[in-house]
Amino acid sequence: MFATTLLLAAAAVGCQPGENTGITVPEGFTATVIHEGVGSARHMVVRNNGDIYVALRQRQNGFGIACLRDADGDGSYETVEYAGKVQGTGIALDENWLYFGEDFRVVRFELPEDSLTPVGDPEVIVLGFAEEGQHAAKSIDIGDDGKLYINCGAPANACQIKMRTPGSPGMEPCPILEYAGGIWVYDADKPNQQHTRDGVRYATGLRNCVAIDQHDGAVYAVMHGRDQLDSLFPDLYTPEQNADLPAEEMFRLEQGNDGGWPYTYYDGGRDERMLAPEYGGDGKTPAEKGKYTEPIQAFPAHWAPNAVLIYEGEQFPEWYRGGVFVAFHGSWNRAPEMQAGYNVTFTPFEDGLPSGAFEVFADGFAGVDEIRSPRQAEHRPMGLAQGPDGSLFICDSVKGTVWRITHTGGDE
Amino acid sequence: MLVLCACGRDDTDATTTSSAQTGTTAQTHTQTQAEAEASSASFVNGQAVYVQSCLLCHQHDGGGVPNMQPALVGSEIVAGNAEALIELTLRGIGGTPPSLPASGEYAMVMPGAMHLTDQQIADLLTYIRQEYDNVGPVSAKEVAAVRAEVE
Repeated sequence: MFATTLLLAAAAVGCQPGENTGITVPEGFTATVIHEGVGSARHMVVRNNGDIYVALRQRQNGFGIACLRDADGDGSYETVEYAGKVQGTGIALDENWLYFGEDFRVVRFELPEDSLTPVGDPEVIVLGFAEEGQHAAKSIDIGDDGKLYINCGAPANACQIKMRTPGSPGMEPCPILEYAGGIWVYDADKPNQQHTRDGVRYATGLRNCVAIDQHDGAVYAVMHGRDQLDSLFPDLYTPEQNADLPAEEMFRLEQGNDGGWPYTYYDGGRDERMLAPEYGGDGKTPAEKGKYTEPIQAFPAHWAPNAVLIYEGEQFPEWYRGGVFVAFHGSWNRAPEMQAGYNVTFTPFEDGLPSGAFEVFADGFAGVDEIRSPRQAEHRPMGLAQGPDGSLFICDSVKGTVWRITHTGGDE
Repeated sequence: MLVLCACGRDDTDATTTSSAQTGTTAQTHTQTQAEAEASSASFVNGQAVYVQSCLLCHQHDGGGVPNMQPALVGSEIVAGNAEALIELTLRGIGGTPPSLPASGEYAMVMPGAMHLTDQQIADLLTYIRQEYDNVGPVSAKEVAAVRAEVE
């Protein structure tokens, strides 16, 4: 009864932008800040008992996993403990194991049934990732099949012979694709597996899919598209064109798919895959048809999709069930145009594919109307997770704020 | 191009005179003005190089992007030893050799600027040093000397 009263009180103020929660959500939903200042949050997961685990990019008092619990069930997660001598982006749960993706290895910790914090030393599951910088974050997911899926971002923009240098052509074939620029699958229970020797390349041609979710026999992934079309090829693209090119692509990937990086990029305006300028493209020449996997949705350029979640709960109305939420960290490279993104979108799905356009679901994270630099943003959406009761959790990388979104209105 | 040549000459004049440490008040005034004009032209040209080659990452105000690209504002590297700054600009950071090793603090790599001319790099560094850290100019001659070592 008391809890209900608190929820209603929160509902009354929940939709006011800039007040209390700092974000806006659609009518019928309520956003509640359940914790602030968790640290440099990256991805997050929620356990069946409601405990929340947030991966941190920088350790807090020497530990990189924030463990949150709502001990008294009032909706505020006041118990926070830090554990795990790790740091990074990826985090995943498989019963009593907590997996963690550091930039150059994936480890797991034992997470006993009744324990809020993982115990013991990390057990290395996969190691040997190339330490080259750029897109090193290892986002991970334990699939329906019990296997470990790992995003191996390409340490490059467009696989140029001279990295990010004007006019430099692309390497052909791009040697990076042998060990990165794709998603690899590993045995989730076998220690010390060597990348790439002991894994299987699930899909390739993916520049960097920080946002991955294995679901129903496929990997839903949203890719960070390439940068700098105008500064690398000023004769072919204007800065204004660069602000809107290329699209951030959402894929439904099956084993063996190829997303076309670095040879192509997706032009959302033309709704067409284009030949990249490093490989002979000129902004007008489409890529070879049928050679690469088509996106199932094209998002605006440079928004930086950092988490994807397929909604499997029943708390939200019918429209949302089976649909897809994407957290956009927000752009830094749309100059001279204003930066954009900094929101969480929703795409309705039917039978595993989008049934309509995406809509902005949660917004106002940045706290300002116009953003010229990411430094102006008060919050940047980074991680998504679904609670056992169907609530949606969002965490932010700037202040380490965690919100819970609940549906409190009718089912219209 | 004419402007760039004029810059170089003015720089040389200014350097010669200041090392001589002599001259009347009138001469000093004229040379300071010449120096100021040269620096001003370099600053303006450098801003154009910044917009074309650097702004996207280091941002419109030189403030960088947290965890991605460092700020130039308040940077000890930008404000420090000119030779080290020139070398870093030419070689880049975090890429394949001759790129310098990355510190690990920032996720992005910086491409080397070997494709820019000595004068363009001098202008660029003059611009960022003055605009973001209020320190003195860099000359094309200094850039050429460091480039010879790097190559």
